[in-house]
Amino acid sequence: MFRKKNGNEIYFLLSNSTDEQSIVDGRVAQSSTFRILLGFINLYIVLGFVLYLLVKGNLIDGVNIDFLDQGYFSVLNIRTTVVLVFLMVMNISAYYNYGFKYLSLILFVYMLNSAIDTNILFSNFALAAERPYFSTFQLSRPLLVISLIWIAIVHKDNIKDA
Amino acid sequence: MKICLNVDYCCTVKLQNTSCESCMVKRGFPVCKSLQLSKAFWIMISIVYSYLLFVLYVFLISPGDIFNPEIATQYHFAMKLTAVRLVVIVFALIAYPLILSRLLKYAKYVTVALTAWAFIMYIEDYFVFYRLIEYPHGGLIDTVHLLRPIYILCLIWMCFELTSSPQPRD
Repeated sequence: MFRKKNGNEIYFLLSNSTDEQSIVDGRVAQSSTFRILLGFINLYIVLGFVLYLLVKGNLIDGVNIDFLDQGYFSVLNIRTTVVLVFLMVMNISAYYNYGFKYLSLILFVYMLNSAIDTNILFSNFALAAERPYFSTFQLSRPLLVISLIWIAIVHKDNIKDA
Repeated sequence: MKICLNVDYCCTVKLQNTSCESCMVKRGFPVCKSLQLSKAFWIMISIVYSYLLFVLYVFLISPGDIFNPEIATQYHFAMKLTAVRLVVIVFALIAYPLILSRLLKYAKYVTVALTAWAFIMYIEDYFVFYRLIEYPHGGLIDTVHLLRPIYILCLIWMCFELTSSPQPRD
């Protein structure tokens, strides 16, 4: 029923199929790994922002007030805002596919630096019982850091990478 | 078919499917010339290295200027943070020339990461940790803080040069 294709035809199909699948409306289509990682990063940062709002509004119990008074709250205040703004810029960058690798790298450095700083400055309050919600985020921070590096690696800048 | 013009330094034979830059690197041509980076870049990198070595000197070798007999909690936190940062600086000082000479393709990413780190530290010290940490005051420490923006500007220049100019081994 189907005619057997010769070598030239097979080569033509194989060489064009990759590019055709990689371009959607003139843009490079990213892999499913990239989409999952981007979704995870968005979810993680948005959850962090929601937690910050809950703590700010005194809507949850079990947070050590002394720990917040030590200066952690002011640090959290600035960092949450910066990270949220960074997330927006990163999403715009992913949409337009411009400079995403650099932005994810910068956010990776920022998150790593903030994790190290927090561990050094607030080591006296390292007990998970004293700050259960923050400890959950602090302990799961490596997941975010790994995701940021991973997403920079799997991101395709141009059709050649696809 | 290309002909390598640098006969004194690399090869005298005709090259096929290879550029002179890669030839120069293979034959031991001075790395600073084979990388094809501008003079401004080398000036910037020397300023950055001088600054970082000066920081190491101030915080490690010249303790007389930094240790206050009445060390407050803020001083203590600042010193703890500085100790961690100095470790990273030492690693960066050793690794960066190797990355620049052997893995030029990734040098721009490393430079961007280091610049971001330097800039983040600068911003956080003045706008986030201003109530938590306080660096000791003194002649050399003040000079370190005074020169910090220049060092960051040099790093930003290096980033732009590495990311915008085409590299031979990209």
